[in-house]
This record gives sequence, structure tokens and C-alpha cells, in this order.
Amino acid sequence: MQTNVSSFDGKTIIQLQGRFDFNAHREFREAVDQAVKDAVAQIQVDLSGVDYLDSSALGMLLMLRDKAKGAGKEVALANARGSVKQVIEIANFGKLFAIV
Amino acid sequence: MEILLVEHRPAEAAASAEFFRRSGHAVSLADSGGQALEHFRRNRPDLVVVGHHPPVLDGIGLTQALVRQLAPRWLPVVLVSDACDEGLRTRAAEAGADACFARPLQSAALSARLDVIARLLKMQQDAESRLARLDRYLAAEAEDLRIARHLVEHQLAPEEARLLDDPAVLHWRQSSPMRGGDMLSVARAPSGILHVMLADADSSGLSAYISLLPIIGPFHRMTEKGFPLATIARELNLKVRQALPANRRVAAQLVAVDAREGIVSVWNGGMPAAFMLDDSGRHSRGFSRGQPPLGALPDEAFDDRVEQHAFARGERLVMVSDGLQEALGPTGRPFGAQGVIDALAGLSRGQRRVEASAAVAAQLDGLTAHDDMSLVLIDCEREAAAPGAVPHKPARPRDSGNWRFSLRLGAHELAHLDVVPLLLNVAEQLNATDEHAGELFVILSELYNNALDHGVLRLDSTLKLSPDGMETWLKTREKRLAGLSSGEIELSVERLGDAGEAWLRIVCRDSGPGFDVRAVGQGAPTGAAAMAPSTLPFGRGLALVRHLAQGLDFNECGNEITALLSLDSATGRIVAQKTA
Repeated sequence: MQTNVSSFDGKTIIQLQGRFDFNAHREFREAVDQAVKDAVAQIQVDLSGVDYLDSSALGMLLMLRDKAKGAGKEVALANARGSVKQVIEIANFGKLFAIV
Repeated sequence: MEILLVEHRPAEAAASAEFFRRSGHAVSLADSGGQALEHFRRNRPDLVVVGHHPPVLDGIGLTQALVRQLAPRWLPVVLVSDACDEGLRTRAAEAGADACFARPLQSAALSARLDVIARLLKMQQDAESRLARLDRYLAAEAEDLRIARHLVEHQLAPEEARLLDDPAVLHWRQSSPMRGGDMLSVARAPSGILHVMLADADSSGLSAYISLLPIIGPFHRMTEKGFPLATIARELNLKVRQALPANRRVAAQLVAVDAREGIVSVWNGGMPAAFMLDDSGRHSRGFSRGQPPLGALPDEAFDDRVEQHAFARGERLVMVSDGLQEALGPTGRPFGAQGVIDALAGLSRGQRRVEASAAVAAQLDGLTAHDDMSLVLIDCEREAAAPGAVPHKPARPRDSGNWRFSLRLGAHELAHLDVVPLLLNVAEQLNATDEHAGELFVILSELYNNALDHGVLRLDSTLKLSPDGMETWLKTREKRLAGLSSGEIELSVERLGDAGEAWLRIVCRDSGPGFDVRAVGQGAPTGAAAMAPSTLPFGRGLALVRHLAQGLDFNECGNEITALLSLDSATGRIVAQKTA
């Protein structure tokens, strides 16, 4: 998986590309650390480039949520599509994250 | 000079000998023809002075005998007689004598003549020693060439070399003794595509063979690994540039014959243009002269484009080396491409290899060449099964039949393979997934990770609850995976059903002791709406599978899970609608 972190307009966006599963852990953690450090108020995870996502990815999103919360920041999940959207809905993450 | 003086009368012998010695020469004496020949055989003098005293001593006859003994080398002979008239002078010259002088021998003319003979002898000796040296060089070079040829021909494993006998490829080569460097290579790609390369090093003899060394192995190895012609050509270009001095090039023509698709591809670097002959032996298509030879261009400028031709029934591809193109025919005119076409005209397709070879060899025999001559003929034939039997386009997903594949992974594979994408890829190739790839991924990923983490690695999910839980979990997982020496996971995917309704059955079994099925068995029933939102860092995987799959079963001891995924597109949508 490829990650890219960029900030503008008071938002920090983590862009993900590829397969978001166990193997993506390192890249994702680095992106999270940077985003939490950079972020002004909100962190947005852009999932438009993610083809697949499994439960370990859900676990990692929760880790991001915890870290962001500790720094007083909100996390939103954006642009999920197809089976990625389906998995997020099944896990009922709408109750834990803002979905945009 | 060493002079043999043949005189019958002692007084004259003494007088003449005195004259030669005064002029600085060494003189031996003989008094008869027999004695003279005997002495000549043993001592090989530089010059023989023959006294003519018929009938006692026949100087003319003796001259003839001596000259013949040394022929074709030159033996200087001076005939001496009491009177040297025109008639005798002519006969002496005819017999092989260089001069005829009258006794007594005191003239300045004779001295001058001896100087001339001495100079000519010196020239003869110099020429002979140069020739002897040249012979030694030639023998040494022939030996070098023999070794180099052997080296080149043994670059390949015997089974690779045997490919040269491919029945689709006919090859004639007439080697020029002191030149060389035409070489044919034949290899088969895993897909069955035939690769043929005719290479001609831009040099002669030993250096020609050495120049071919860097490309033979790579051509075979890359073909065997399934690389396309363009990639191979590019790599060979790099190899020549790396291995050979900057001014060295290797001309080469690479051909791929794809019997299944009916396409022949050609990349030409500096060889005479290849062409096609139709089934009646007429020129049906030419290829271009192409690119500069291998090694001429840096990689950035290298053009790896190939020319393609969809061949018709009975077409053959012809390649020649420029040694043949430039060879002179019996009438003194260049053989050229037309000569090749004419030479092949008599060949019929069904002809036996041996007969065809003999017929073409006879044509090449009349040629005068200064270089290796090679002629390669490749039969382009569609595979027998090809017409309609193997559809080129993959079938539509709905046409997909039922199949099953399974993969059993040992400790080493578990530690090193990225298994899920591998299986997903296979399923995609089988046209199983299409719109269900995402669901299949989640199911495979959850089942596999569950089996690996809990079944094989025996990781405890509560590790994740500690501060920095995820880190601890990952480190422990990595460590156990690296040290894994036993354990096994078997995954199988099977397509079931018919045109109306189709399913994928995914089974995952691990070598672990299993788990308490009842504890996991509680929770949402399969196919239901969303799970209760949980912020726990674990316990989500199987629940996810339960939601996506239409069935989820465990065996008694809990080390085997079976999930059923409906391939009916409506089912997926129902789940999505319920959760929306």
C-alpha cells in the first residue's frame, strides 16, 4: 500500500492506495504519526484508492482514532467505495468515525 | 657461397677451383656425374658449377638431374664448357642452367653473375623463412579457432544445444576456414513460442567467436524464462556493450514464431533483411533492415520494436548471413536474396530434412565466399489444435465452469509468501470473482490471518489490549513467524453451482489445535445487518466474514473453517442495502 500525507485548509489528509491489510501496517503507522503531528483539527483518511480492506485495517483505523483523540483531533473516513464501503458499513464504523 | 665444382680433368678442376676460392667461395670437387649427385644429396651446396665434357661427362643431363632434385625450389647452376656457342647456351638454359661460360674461368662477367646468383639465393632463403613463419602462425590460429568454436558451441547445456535440431528449423552453414562467427541459436519459451537467433560477429576468426560469447547464454536463459523478443534484444545489446571493446558489434536477427497465434515477430540488428516465402516458394513479404547491430547504441537510444507478420498456411521465414548474400555465384554474380529464393525453389514442404539439406548444400557449394555463409529456413505452422479450439478471449464470467484449487503451505511458505493476493489472482484468472473480488479478498484474508495468527503462531488477541498493543502484537508476530519451523495451512477455493446460481466455497484448515467454536459461534447470524460497533482492537474478522458469506461452518475442533460466498450479484446488494 502507498500512503501520502498532505495538509491544507485546516485538514490533514492521509491518502491510501492499494491493498489495506496487515502488510500495510508500517506504512500506515508512519502516515498516522505524521498526520497526528501535522493536523490542526481534522484528519481525513481518503480511501478512494483502496481496492481491498480487511479487519486488520479496521483495527488500524481504530488505532488512528485513539491517537487522534489523544491529540484532540477528529478522524473522518472519506470516499470509500465498493467492498471497502461495504466492510466499513458492516463493522458499523459510521458510529465511530465521521463518514464523508 | 658453397660451390660444388664438377670437372672431369684434374688440371681444369684445380684452375677453376682456384678462381672461385679467390672470389671468396668455398669449393668442393666431384669428377663424375654420379659423384656429383651423391655429394649434392649430402651437402646441399648453394651453387653447382657443371663442367661439360661430352661424351665422358654430360653436363646438360647432369644439370637437368640436379635441378629436378631441388624443384620446385631454385638451384643455381652454371655450365662450363670449352666453347660456349649459341646452341649449347640454349640447351643449357633449357636444362635449367642459369649461365654458360667458356674455360678458362677468369672473366669479370662470371664474377658479376655469381654476385647476382648470391643475391637471388638470399631472396629465396628470406622468402622461405617468412613462409615457414607464416605457416606456424596459420597453424596456431587454426588451433585457436578450433578451441573458440568448441567453446562457443559448448556454452549451452546439451538439452539446449539439442534444440538446434528443431524440426521447424533448417540451417545450412558453410564455414570459411579463417573466418567465422555465424551462429544459430534456437530456444523455446515456456509458452511454446519458438525463438531463433542468427548472429554474425563483426570480425573474423578467434575474435568473432569471442564476440558471440556474451549473448548466447542470455538468449537461451531469457527465452526459457518467458521474456519477449524485445526485452531479450535490449538485454543482448547491453551485454555486448558491457562485455566487448567499444568498437565491437554483433549483428543479430531474432525471430519468434508463435504457432498458437499464427504470428512471426522479427527484430533485426544489422543482418540482411529476413523475408517470407509462400507455400509455392515465392517471396511473400520482406522485413526491414532494422536497427544497427547489437552494441552500437546506448540503452536509451536502443529501439526494441519488433516487426510482426501474421503468417499464412505454408509460409516460411528465410534468414541469411551477409557472407551468403555477398557470395559470388558460379557466373561471378552476387548470390543475393534472389539466389537464395532460387536455391530454395526446388524444396517442397514435405521433403525429408536430409534431402532438403543436400539440395541446398549443392547450391551453396558452387559459391565463392570470403566469410561464413548461413541460411536459415523456419517453417511457420499454426498449431494443429489452433483453429477454433482455443478461444483467445477469456470466457465471460457467466460462462465460467466449476473448478477447485487448493494450496497447502508449509512453515517456510507461511513465513515468506504473500498468500492472499496469490489466491485472489488465481480466482480472478478463473473469472470467478468479477464484482465479488472485494468480498472474496476479505474472506480469504480473514480466514488466512486467523489461521496463521491463532492456529499456527498461537498469538493471543489480548496482547492488543496493552498500551502500544498493536506494536507488541506485530513484533511478537514477526518474531514467531521468523522462527517458524513447523505448521501448515491449507486453503481451497471451489466454484459450485450452475448457470442459475453459483457459489464459491472457501475452506481454510490449519495445523493448530483449534479453538472453542461455541464462543465464536455466538454473535450475529450470517447475512445479517451491521455488527454492533466495537472499539476493541480485535474480534472483528470472523464477524465480518459472517456478514459477507452466506454460510460459515467450523469443524468439531475448530481448526477448519468453511465459508460460502454467493456469486449472485443480487445477494451482495441486499447486504449493502440493509447496512445503508
